[in-house]
Amino acid sequence: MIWITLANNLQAQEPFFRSFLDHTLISEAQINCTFQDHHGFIWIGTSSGLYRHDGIKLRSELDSESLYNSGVSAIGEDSLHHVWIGLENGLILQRQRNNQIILLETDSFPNAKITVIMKGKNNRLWFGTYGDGLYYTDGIELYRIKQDDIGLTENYIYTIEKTANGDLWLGTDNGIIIIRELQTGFAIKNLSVDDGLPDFIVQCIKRDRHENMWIGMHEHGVCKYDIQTGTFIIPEALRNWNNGPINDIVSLSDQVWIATDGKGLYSYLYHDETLRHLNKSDNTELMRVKKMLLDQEGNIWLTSHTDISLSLGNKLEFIRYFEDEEISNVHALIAASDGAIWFANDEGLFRYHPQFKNEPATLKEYPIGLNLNRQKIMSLYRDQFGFAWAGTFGQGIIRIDPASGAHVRFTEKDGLANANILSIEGNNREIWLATLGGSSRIEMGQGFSELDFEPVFENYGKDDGLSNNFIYDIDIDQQGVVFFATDGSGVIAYKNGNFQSVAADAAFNQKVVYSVVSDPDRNIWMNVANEGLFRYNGEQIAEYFNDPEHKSLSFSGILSNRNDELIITYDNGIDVLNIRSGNIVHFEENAGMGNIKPDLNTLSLDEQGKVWVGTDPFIVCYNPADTNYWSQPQTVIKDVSLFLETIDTSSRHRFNYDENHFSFDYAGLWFQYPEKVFYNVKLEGHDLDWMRTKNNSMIYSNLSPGNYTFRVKSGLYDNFLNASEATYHFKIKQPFWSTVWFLFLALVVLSGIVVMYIKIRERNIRRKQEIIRDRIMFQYENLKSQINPHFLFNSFSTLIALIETEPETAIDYVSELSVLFRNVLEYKEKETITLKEELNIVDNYIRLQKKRYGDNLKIQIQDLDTIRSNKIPPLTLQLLIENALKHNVVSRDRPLTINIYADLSKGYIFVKNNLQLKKEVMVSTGIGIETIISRYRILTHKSIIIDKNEETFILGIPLLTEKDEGINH
Amino acid sequence: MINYCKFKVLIFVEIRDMIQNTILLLFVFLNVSGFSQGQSQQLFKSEHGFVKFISDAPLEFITAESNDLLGLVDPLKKTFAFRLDVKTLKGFNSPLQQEHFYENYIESDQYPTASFSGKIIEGIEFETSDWQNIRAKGILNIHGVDQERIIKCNIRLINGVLEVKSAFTVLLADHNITIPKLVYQKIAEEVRVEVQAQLTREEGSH
Repeated sequence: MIWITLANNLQAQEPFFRSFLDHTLISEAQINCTFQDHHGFIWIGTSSGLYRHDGIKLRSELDSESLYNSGVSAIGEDSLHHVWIGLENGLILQRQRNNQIILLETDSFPNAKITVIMKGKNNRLWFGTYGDGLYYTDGIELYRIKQDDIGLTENYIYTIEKTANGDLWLGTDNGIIIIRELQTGFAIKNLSVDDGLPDFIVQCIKRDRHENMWIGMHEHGVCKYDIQTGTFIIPEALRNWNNGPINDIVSLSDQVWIATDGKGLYSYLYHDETLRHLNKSDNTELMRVKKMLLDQEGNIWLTSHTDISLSLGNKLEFIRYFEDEEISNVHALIAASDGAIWFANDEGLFRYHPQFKNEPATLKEYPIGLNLNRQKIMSLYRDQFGFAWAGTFGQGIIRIDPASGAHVRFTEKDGLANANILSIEGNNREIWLATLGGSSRIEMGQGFSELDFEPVFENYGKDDGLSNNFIYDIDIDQQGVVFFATDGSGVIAYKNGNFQSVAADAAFNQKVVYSVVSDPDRNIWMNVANEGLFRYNGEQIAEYFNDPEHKSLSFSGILSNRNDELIITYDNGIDVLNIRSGNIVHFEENAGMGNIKPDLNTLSLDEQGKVWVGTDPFIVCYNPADTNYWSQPQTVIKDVSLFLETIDTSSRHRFNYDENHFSFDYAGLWFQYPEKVFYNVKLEGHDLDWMRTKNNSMIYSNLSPGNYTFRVKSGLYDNFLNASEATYHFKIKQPFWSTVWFLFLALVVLSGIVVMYIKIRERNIRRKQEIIRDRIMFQYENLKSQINPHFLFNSFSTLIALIETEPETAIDYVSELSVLFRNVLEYKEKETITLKEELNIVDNYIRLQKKRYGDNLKIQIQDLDTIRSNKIPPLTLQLLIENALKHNVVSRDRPLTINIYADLSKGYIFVKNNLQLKKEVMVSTGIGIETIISRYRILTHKSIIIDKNEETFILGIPLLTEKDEGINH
Repeated sequence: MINYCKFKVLIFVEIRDMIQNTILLLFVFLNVSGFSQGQSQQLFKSEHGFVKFISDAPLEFITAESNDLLGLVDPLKKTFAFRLDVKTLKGFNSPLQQEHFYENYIESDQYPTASFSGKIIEGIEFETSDWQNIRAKGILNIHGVDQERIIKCNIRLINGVLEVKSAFTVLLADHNITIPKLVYQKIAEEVRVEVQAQLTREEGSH
């Protein structure tokens, strides 16, 4: 036997760290603090800026110019989820809902660096300062609790931690100060050296899951405040601390991580009471980690002065080397109940025991008399008496006593079915061997507890119903049912002495199955060569991981642990499938895996529930995570932009019809593997189906009015089973002209117009008819008047007189008379005639009347040449003159004077006569001024003017213009 | 609005700095002039403390000493202040070296003093004359650069005399003291400092 013991300060197992920071973005700056907000974003405060990280993108939130000549020294979040920023010069900034970062409005900022921001009770937010005591805000005012006020014994505050009941524990230069927020005021208590605290200077405090407080000090390392006993305890492994000041502590499920100032990282395991060094000393960034942040995924962010590293915490631990020996090419591995790991590689068979308390890690080789370079160990098993069993390729099976190293080997000669042992499985009654020639069973009989026990091999093969001779893997479930993964016959179960195929599906029972495992829900999980993973729930077979983009389908081993998880190894890494939720956590190159090419029998569950996996380049231990961590990417809509302008999504949900160009920025926060986060995106109201994309923004332009919901889910690879979703609902309003009320209004107006049009048309038609009727009436009346007997009598009297005295004039008179009647006949059809024509008629008429009245009738017609072409209803002026003659006395004593003149400014022609009414009124001819008035009413808007007094009678008729003409047509 | 805020803050910062400076000056003044009014019966003072700088470089070993370390300790208030006029440092391996030290490295014309002042973390036992381990936390100012340091000291109170012994290292880079490449091998990056002082009780006779 060859023993190798690892010196205490050398590390065999180490977590995975990777540098996270993009130095092109944060350069020349000192990193001061990190913080995770409720969404999950990681905030980074540096000496010259503030940044927010989503795993892919680092966004600058504050640049050096907005830092008031200072640096960011603390970041926190209040109960309303506003992020607060404390600066090195004591100023405090607040990030508002609209993402603006503004200075808190107060006149009394602390005059020392803000070291910590912590959410308290009653919406209070606390600020610890380095030299100026403690402050808090209620969101409006900033209040100070100063040294000597209410018993605060120290103004230098390094850290604040909160207990389960909300007490604040302050780490100071004078021990621990506990502040309890009361209904009114505060209660303060000091825990210091007199109370058993090993050191005055307390630089960090962290609460563990049992409510105990872990305290990191300047000189005396780390101690625990036991909440049950109320005492300070330094665990044995942490006594006589010699590793310098403690910068920070992180509390995990089974351990605390301790960051020292210059001596690297340590972890203290509660269960093993063991202190282990975590990092190799050649990583200088990890030697002086200033701050550690445990995020919601269980990752640990390690901040040194100039770098940020991300670790998966206690989830994975790697053994790559032991001393200078590379641990590689592991073909078989088993975790023993004593905490040791047995593994076999090309170098030999080894037993590794991790560091335990002061016992350093050991590696011990067990020579078994075989050249393992050629005769490989393919399977390992450890029985209940502590003996190790090694199944070889061609050399049978070997049973080894770990204490002495003595071993015995059994081959086909001893009754073994076949000397190629691919898998060994057993319980406390029996051991089953999977070989290339069927299966062998060993019953644990009398004397099994001794190395010299002579086993009897019961062999099962094709003839017994095991169908095929090649067996790759065996699994025994809680009920003692044995499952065989076969080469070409699917999975066969051995139950109550019978072999039968697991699945009823004939095609499935032809498959090559490399490994089989039953889970606590009695599902059978099967790894089918080149096809992937299948689950049989007793009724049907379901396929897992059929996404070819995901990875090669060549899974190696599968194992079910106590945390409802299925651990699956494959060429690129390890997947952990939660069989209840369906969530899958991937450990690939993100976790330092890469091309690991694991063999079939290299997965094993240890007593503490950890899973050990042997691979080509290393051995890795998976520690099931706390269930309260996030188990899948968290989806956040980062920004919604309208025409590239970010909008406040909390308040704006309604947009106008032309506000229709939207872009959405979102993130699936999964810091352990941001590269493999995919999105399912859908804009409800626009898209019919989900779209899978890797883009973390979407643009929609020219959206038509309607209701929309932007939905985004994030998942790893193609797994959106329980994916977290973020939504943003919004509405684009109809344009005003297509809203219902507008359409209604438009309809009302339109029908109004139609009704009005019809009405006007009707009125016009009616008016036309009236005009026609009036004209006919006028013509008729006029005719009638012209030939009324009185007129004729008068005319003939005049004529008789003329014939006697002036026969020649009589001839003229008769022709004048005939002209009058011709004119009447000629113009009666016309609506209007020109003034010139009218004046001709009037002239003719006057001449006729002059013959009768002589100089007793004086008619003066003003020169109307300028308006000769204006229109006038025919016979109007003639009628007016006739009217005057009819009603007035015309005699030598009382001559009648008729004036016809125009007033162009008013647009009227006036007919004026002196009033000397006849005593006996002539029988009215029925035609008169009323007729004229009604004619004009149709022709023009202007009305007839009648001015009548004792002496004169004036009648004004409007001159018709072209416009008035148009009314009728 | 934002500009106005910024402006307000700048003024505020300026005023605050002024106040801080004033307080600092006041503090130094009171200390140096032997602040002894009122309750400070317990003020201990030394004007001739011993300090030694040791540079152990691969090619040369240099020491310089001074016996003019000014020190004040108030054990009740747990505060202290030490100050050294750097030009009182003597020793070196040659007068030329001393001049180099003054002019090139420590720039004594510009930064004539080195100081360390602050508070004492541990409580001091007055009932014993045994050596006590304490930590002094404060601002170490060398070459005009402040560094917060927690320095371990041994003290004892014997016959009314407070004896202080301490040894610590100073990283030259921490204080912006740059060593020319040529003499890199001759001056260590880390200088060891040893301090020894006997402080006597001020009787408060002022």
